[in-house]
Amino acid sequence: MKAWLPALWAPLVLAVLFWSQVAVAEVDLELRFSAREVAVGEALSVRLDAMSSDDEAPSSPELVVPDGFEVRGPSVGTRQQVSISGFNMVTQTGISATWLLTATRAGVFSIGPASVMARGQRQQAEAVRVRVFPEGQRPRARSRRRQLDPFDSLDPLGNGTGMDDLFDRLRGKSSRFDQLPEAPVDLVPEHAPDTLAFLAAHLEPRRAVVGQQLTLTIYAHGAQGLFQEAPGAREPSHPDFLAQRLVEDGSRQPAYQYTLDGQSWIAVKVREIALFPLHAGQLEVGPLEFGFLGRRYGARSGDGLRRSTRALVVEVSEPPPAGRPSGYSGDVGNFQLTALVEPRSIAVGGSISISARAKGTGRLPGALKLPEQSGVEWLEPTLRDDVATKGSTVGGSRSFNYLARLTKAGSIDLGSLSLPHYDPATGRYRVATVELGKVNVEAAPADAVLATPARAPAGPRLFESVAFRPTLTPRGSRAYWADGGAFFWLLGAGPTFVLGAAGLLELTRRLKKRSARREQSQATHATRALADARRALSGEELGSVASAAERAIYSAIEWATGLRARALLRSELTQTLERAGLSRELAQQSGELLDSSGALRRGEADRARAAALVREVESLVRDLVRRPARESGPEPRVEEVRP
Amino acid sequence: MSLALDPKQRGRVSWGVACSLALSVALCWSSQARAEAALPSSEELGKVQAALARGAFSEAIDQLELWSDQGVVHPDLSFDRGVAYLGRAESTARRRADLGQAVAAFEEALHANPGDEEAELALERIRKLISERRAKHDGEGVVARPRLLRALLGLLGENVWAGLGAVGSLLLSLGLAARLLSPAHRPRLAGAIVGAVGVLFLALGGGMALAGSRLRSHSSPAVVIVEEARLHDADGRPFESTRGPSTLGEAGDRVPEGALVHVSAARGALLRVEWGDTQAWLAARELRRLALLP
Repeated sequence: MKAWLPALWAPLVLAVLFWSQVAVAEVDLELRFSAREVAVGEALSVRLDAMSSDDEAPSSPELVVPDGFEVRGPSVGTRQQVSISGFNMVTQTGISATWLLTATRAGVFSIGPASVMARGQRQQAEAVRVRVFPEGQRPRARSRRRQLDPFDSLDPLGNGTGMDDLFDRLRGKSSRFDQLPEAPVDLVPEHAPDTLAFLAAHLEPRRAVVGQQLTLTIYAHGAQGLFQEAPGAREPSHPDFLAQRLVEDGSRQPAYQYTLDGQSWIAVKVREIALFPLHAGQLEVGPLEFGFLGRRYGARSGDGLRRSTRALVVEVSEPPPAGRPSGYSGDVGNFQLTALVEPRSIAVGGSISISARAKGTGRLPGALKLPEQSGVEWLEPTLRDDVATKGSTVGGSRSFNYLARLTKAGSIDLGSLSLPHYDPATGRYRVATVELGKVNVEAAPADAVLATPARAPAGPRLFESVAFRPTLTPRGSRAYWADGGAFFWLLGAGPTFVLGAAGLLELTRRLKKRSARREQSQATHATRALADARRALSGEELGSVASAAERAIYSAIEWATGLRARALLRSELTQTLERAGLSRELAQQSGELLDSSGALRRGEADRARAAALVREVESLVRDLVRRPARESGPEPRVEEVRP
Repeated sequence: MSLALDPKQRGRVSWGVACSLALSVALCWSSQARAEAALPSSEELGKVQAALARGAFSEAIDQLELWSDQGVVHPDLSFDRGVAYLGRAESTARRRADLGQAVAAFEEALHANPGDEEAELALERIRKLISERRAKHDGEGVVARPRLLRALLGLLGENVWAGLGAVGSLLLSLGLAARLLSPAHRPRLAGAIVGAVGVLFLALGGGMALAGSRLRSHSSPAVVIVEEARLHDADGRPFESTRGPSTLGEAGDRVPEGALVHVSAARGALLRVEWGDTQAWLAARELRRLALLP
């Protein structure tokens, strides 16, 4: 009976295996978190690897992030992975999407699901719970020595150290103050800013370029004997930087002693953080709030004696444009490249392995510049990091393992890998290069069937329909008339000019008319008649004086009232003038002077009377002419004025 | 139309017209005489061409991008950059944003040289390719027509509108001159008619030129270089799709790769864009702003 059992199970097992193959053939999703516990203000990386076994890589990665995180990303990179499974070479293509989440409030959050589009459907990975502690509180994981995790952008070195009590350490060893090493000179301040305890923060350098390492070093100085760090420190915020913690607490740091102004001080490095600016500008690093705990600082179970550093500002600029090599993608540091190519001889369609290693100081480069050429297809590399710090300088090495498929026969010169980067120490750009040498690619036998090239482009090649332009045709700027500030003024200038000219002409015409009217006005006649009277008086022609004085009076009356008084009866003159708007005195004076001039004309020549008449007429004419002119009215009834 | 102007008046009008023309010429000349950044030599371009010929698309792109970063702007350089990106997009070394970058480069070339038919054709083909790819994955593409004002400006060209305004100004000047300075009835009537036509042209042409100038000074063109850019509101929250009449397709809250948008403001990592009838925000890294000739 047992003999047929394998026969029964075998198809079942095969079916299960086949089913799993089919399932795998769709999309492999892997969601990785740099930390499951963070504090408010700290960042964690979330990476989604989506690999598909068909030709089409997954696309459109999305991550559902609850309110409580600031999200940056995703930064998406393509990946290609070749593996041997049984006797088959399995090629997987995919993407790697990375988000950087910064916690903004405490709580427990469910991050995810993360999803990608694959073959028209959205595939998703499970959500993950992340705990966020209040700002300044350190997640439990940070207090333990952690496994080295280069994926953790916040602390890839895993420098978290066990909580050690400096106070207990020194006390247990029966240390005395004078047994501590002397503090280096640069650690001793000129004056202590506080009599009990203080923090001193240094950020070096104070001017940097984007991507350059800055080191934030914070020392705790205490004058009340030994101390330890109280829980609940508020960590410095640094939203504009990527950070790597080099020293997380002072428990394993050497303590120094010095005497200042007769007071004994102990100084311990409590934080050291490597900061890499993400962008240019005036960037700020927030303060550290730290509690000194010790017998003479405060209760051991309390917050201790709280002190904080100042916020620090650093001036960050872009690396200089002058001398920037092509292909520069923002790497800053000092790197060397080495590479190993294996094998050196293969058949057409085969693949070679290129293992390149970038080693040096600075943030490790994300990619190398590849020597592309037709007949050589480079696949996405797999990366391996070996991050190290030397003193306070971050560096190490990153290995890039490429597979390159060679599709043309012959001796192929692979060219060189290169890494353009900016070296802040020298202030110059450098290009680290490594020659890859030649590979002998043997032609395939005539009967061999070459595998189709991976990810061969489908459809007509648009690239062939456009021709590169090897010479630049001289072209002027594209000018817009409306951009000239004067254009709109010019639009209005023509009509304005015409309107102005017409207005000017009209004004001239009116002035001329007014001048002519003035010339013909009764006031002018009155003035002229007065002049005639004066002339006649001086010439002893007393008869003419009377008639000129009469003319002056009549003209002045006509100017002031519009009435032609010569046509009025003398008896009606005064009343008529009053009705026309003259005052009673002026009206009466006008009548009397007319009478006087008539008497003078008819009577004997008397020079004194004539001179008096001229003076009075002058006064009257002045009073009348001062009044505004009035238009002449209808002709009054014509009757001779009889005195 | 006869203008009954005496010789003195006629002289004044022609002097004014001459001044206007002289100032126009001076304006055009000054805007063209601005200094240009140093252009690459033929040898340098030859190296880029050689890199393209041997399939080293990234090397060519790096060099062309370096020139772009250095502020070297020339429509042919932009065109060449489009060619390099297009080449890489169709090679095994292709990267995700290559087609969008190619569109951005050809758009840049076309903005600087509107008569470049080759760039226009390349753009049309790439956008068709992107549209086909999107249709294959998402079922329906998204099309957004430009706003009416931009469509009208694009219809004739901004300088043509400006010229229409200038003609209107001239007609209005002549009409006013005839109407105000001529004593005879007929020229005055003709002046009134010509002046009215001038006012119409001046208002239309000048208004459109002003609108075009303001659009250009308050917004700059950019191209989406990711497969799909999601629209956000000013606070960075996903945009609630309220499609206007110019936006077609189901996905009104997303902008496809290669789409031309106009950026009107920046806030942190977000840029306010005009997309069809919609004003929304996009992440800055999802866009490439076009370098325009100075």
